[in-house]
Amino acid sequence: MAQIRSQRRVRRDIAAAIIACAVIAIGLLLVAATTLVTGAAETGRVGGRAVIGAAGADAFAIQVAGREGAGWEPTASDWVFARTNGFDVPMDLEQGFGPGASRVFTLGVRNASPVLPGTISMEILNRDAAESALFDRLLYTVEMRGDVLLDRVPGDELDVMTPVNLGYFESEDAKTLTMTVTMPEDAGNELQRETARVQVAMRGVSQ
Amino acid sequence: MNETLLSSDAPSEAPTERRRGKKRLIIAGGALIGVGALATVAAFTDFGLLNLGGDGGFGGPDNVYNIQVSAGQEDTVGDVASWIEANPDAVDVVPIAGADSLIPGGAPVDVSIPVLNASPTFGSTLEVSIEDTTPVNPDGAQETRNNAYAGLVRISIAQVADASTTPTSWVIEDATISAANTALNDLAAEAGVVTVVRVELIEGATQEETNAANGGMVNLQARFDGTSVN
Repeated sequence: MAQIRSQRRVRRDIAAAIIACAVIAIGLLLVAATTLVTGAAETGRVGGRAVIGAAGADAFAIQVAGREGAGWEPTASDWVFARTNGFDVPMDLEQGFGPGASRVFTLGVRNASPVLPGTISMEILNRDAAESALFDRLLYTVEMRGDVLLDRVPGDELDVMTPVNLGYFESEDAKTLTMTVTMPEDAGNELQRETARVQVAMRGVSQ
Repeated sequence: MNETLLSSDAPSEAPTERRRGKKRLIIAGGALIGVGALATVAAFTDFGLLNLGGDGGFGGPDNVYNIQVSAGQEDTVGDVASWIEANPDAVDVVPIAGADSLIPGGAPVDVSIPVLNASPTFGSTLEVSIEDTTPVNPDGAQETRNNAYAGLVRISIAQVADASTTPTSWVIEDATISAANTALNDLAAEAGVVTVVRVELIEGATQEETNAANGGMVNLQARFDGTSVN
């Protein structure tokens, strides 16, 4: 009986060892497969980097454009990389910005990569957090291709309403959106002389 | 080896060790797979920033709306030497020639009041109203005379560029004090106008009404209200 038990146990041990080896093998295979996939992606990215490098950008790059007014379509020369200080969108300062007033902007975002697709999101930021009285009261509306992404959202609620997903961008795909900044009708004299420095951040992630 | 495997107390330990060993292997495999998966979801990122209005942004020190007046009774806006806020505290426009000698049916008194939209960026609506600010007199007889006097006052208002000549048209004419309020033309940014307020005393419907105002007086205040125009 002892011999029989011993033989069975040895068989189980051998079987267990085989299973263990199989698991190792599967694990290695999976790792190898993933590495191969990753390597393939890297190969493509290296190629992309070489192409975009001629334009002075990185492998995956976001370009933006902007102008005051609605219905504008950026041309090739309007697209800029704007990472450090951002691109200043000119605004008519000759006209007062009082209760009920709105300023409309056309903003563009482009996936400048010739190879990589990606997703892009938009966020509205206060460039001067120490001065938020006006920024917090302003109402922000964003529309893209007929869809209202933000509808008169007060500045002090943007933290919970943004970032807004602008969707999937094929390589070199661009989209424009209309952004309206409005001072509410019931804004009072206390907002005179206040300043709101509004920044729009377009953030992309390659796919 | 067999002895160890066949010992009476060993079997309860050995399988457990083997199971642990298998678990470790499986976990190791999973961990490696996890590393592979992490490597797969890694991505490049980039961003672009748009500054609306540049460094100036929305609003700013010049984004202010302000109405000012002059108490100097100048004929034109350009003649005004000193503009006054007159808000919240009113400013006296004195003396007004002839204001202390109005008689029923007599000559009116015209007062020129320049008004300025001092905002560098906003247009402005403009309204003017005349208010009776005469304090209640504790002397009942005097209070009666004052009320009778106020009842005979009539107001006309004009808006002109130059008040050196008598206005040819009036926005409102011969209104009672309570009815003397009207909208004036909108003002562009940093533009002004001279309002002419004509005050006259009419005769009462009866001689008794006219006589009741004898010795009365009234304090009038011109109030200018504006609203910013974007």
